[in-house]
Amino acid sequence: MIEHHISNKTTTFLSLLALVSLFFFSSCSDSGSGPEELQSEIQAETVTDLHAPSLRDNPNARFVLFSFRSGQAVDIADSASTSWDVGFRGTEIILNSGTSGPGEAGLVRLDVAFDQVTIAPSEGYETDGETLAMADWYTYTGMNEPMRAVFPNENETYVLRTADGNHYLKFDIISYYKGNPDTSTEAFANLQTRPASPFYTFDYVIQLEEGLRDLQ
Amino acid sequence: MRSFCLISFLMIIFSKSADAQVIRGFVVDSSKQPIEDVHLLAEEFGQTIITGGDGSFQINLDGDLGSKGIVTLLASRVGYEPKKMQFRLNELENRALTVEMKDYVYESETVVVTATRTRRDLEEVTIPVTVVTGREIQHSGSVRLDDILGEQTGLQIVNNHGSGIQVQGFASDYTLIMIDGNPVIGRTAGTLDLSRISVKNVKQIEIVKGPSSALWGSDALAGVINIITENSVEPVSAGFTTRYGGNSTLDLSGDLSLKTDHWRNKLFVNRNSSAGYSLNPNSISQTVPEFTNYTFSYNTEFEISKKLIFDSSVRYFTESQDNLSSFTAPEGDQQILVSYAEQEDFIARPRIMYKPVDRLKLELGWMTSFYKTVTDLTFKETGNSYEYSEFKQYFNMPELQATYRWTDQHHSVLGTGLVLEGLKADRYPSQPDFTTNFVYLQHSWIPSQVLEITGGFRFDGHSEYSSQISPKFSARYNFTDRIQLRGSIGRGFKAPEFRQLFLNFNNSTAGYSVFGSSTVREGIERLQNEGNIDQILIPISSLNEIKAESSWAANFGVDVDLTDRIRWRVNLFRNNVTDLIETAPIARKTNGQSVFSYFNLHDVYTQGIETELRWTVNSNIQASVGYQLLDAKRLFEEERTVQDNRGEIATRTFSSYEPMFNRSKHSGNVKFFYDNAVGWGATIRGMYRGEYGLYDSNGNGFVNSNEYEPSHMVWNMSVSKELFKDYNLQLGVDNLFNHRNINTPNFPGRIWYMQASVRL
Repeated sequence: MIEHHISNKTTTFLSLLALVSLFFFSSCSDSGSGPEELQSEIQAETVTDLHAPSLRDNPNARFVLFSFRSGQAVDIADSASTSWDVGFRGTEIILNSGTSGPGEAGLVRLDVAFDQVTIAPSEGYETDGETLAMADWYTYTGMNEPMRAVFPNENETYVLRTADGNHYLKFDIISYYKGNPDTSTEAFANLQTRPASPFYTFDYVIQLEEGLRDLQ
Repeated sequence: MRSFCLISFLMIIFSKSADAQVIRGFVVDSSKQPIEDVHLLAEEFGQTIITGGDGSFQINLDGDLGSKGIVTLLASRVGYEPKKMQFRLNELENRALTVEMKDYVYESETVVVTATRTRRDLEEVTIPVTVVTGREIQHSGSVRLDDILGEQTGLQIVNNHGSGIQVQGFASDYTLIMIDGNPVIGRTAGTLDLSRISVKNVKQIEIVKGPSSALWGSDALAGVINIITENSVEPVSAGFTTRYGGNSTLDLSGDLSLKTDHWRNKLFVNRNSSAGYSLNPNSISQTVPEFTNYTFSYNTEFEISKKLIFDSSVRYFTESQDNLSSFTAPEGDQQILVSYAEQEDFIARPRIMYKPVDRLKLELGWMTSFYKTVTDLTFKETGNSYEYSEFKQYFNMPELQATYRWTDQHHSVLGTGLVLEGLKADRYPSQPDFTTNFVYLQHSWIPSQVLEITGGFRFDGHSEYSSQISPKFSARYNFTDRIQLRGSIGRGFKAPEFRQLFLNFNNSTAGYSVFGSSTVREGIERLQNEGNIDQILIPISSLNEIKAESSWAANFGVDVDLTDRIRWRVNLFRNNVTDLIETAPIARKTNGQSVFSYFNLHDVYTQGIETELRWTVNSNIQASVGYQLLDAKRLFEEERTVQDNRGEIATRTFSSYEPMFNRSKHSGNVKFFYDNAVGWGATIRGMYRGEYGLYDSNGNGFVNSNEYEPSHMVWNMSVSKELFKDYNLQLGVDNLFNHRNINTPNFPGRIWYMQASVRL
């Protein structure tokens, strides 16, 4: 379900604002806590324009692997390890678990706005099987205007467990198009001038302290 | 002459007599003009007299005057408020009285039938009825039913496969349209195209808002619109009207009336044609195609005896349309199609009315009707057929009604009948038919002139869906002479449509299937046997019998006569609608497509306020302002995965009411009518429609703030002049400021027209 563009912009803006403030908060709390108990260490990141060609773009396309723990892409040569959490190829998104990889990555879908998720559930994580856990993360407009566009689902937040089974994060896909364009424009509606895809822009907030589920 | 002399002679004699008492004087109206034909009753003496042409009267009282020192005089006449006066007899000697009578502004002669199925005075019925008079239709220059209904407060013309009517926020599917009490059949996608009905032969249109299924059965969920056609009133009368306007729109009407003491006849013929128009220059299809239609109607009433009357109405309508459309072949090249469409409908209802005794009236009628459409698409280049389809619907309704007046305070109506419907069309290979049997009962209790209470119900038993019981209670209370209150609570329903019951459709190109609720079991079994079903989403065994869409509604209204000439009407309404029928997938096919069927899914409410101020400035000028505030929302229920307070996964149901498409929160009108004694007439009418949602651009099922279309106001004007009493010329312009928008296809832009009529 796609909301109209005004609120789209507003929510994006609000989440960016929240991210900025989270940054601020986490860097402050780092310095002033005691050493005895588990210490929450939250990191918020925005990844822009991660290029993940589809099989249509390139029949030999491989998944682009990514680690939330390091915030870096992982070489496809390491696909048999737990060093990656998630992989992208066109609109396909795999998790490092089940049929897709050796890890324990899992997913909980929440029908809640990104900012409102403050803790990860302890159980209920889905892994990749016959259907991918991350299937249906987007809406395809088909013949509706703007035609043949891919929009991430609104008001849906993905809580993930990393492939090592030790970390939790929340994940929000912002755009499938290069440069996170304004999708309400004439230029976007026109297939000739529409920015290229698939270029993922996404936000995530990860708990770096092992075992803690707090995301705020 | 002789009797006049005699009276004068007697008058002289009696006025001279010492014992006799004479009351004499004049009756005048509020502008001091004499009124003739006023009935004057000297109550204590039981004597009546009628005023002459100069408004004068003289009553010669006889009887014992001594014991009756007081006389009560009652003056009454149609069109005036009755007046009661008391005098001491000795005051009256040698004095001429001047009796002034007030105009009865809201003429009490208007009799309506739609509210109670009996002939009742408009002022007395317990349900507010709006009456659009033939005179208003004529002054407004209206030709088709949508022209005049679109100018009424609280009614909105909406376009979906024709011009339909929106009442209290309900789509046009939910309003029953009748001609002389006979339901009009033939709806396309739920819309009964109002432009099928000519209003050139209409005595009045009665509009009842709010559910009326307690009397009229299915479809009367939002309201009932009953078109009452004219029958002959004069021994011989003939009329002819011709009207020509923009887009080569030509309307020709002729009528002929013959009336004898026992036999009334009226024949009416209308031809209406137009070149159509296009609001989208990029499309080769016209917005409204070129068309020609004919209406023939005949009403007859024959009085076999004082107790036995036979009447019948017959109506036939036929229309042909020509248009172009385009078609993109799978190879990508575009081809032009010639589109020809034809529709016809027929209604006949012979009826016998029998009054064995004064207090009992029996009516036995048989209505028969059919509706047919033909669509023929051919390739323009080759002339080969692209698609040809026919649709035929049959409707028969024998009905018996008894009206019984127990006393002046108690009246009952009891009726029963049968509806037999059938269908022949390509998408309904089984040629389905179904029957409904119904019985209704209504009782009115009128304990006094100021209070009336009516209650009743109707039972509809149907062969294909659950039976319906529709009760309704209504009451009128005259708080004072100037304030009338009306309230009602009732239930309405709409039977599932043919497609919702019987459709059997496989889309050969896209691969999905749709079945009606009566054909779904068989359809799924067949697909299963053929090995085409991958997964059943809703087990057939758990399917419930489909229910009619239904609503409970409350209406409450007040009529206030602010002065003798200003009436203010307010009505508050609330409709709670359940079980709206929509499609949902029932199984997944092996080709990945779905099988759909119809289910009772949605709940809706509509509520609002309708108000109208009518000001009869004087006998020449009438002005009115109307407004409707509407709030129509649909219930959305959604299961969402959320977190509990420990952060664990929880499922909760969220429900919200969201605005519906095509509903304007604000709408209204301003009207001004003028006519004078020398035959000039003029009208100005302005209709406002506030912003409304139209396109669901994000597909979420409700209107978001960026999905509203702008408001618009349309002004219509006309001027007319009567010539030599029998001729009338009218010049008018509809849509003066040229509102044109592809989203309002019923407005072709500014249209000038001229009309000439003659009545002999």
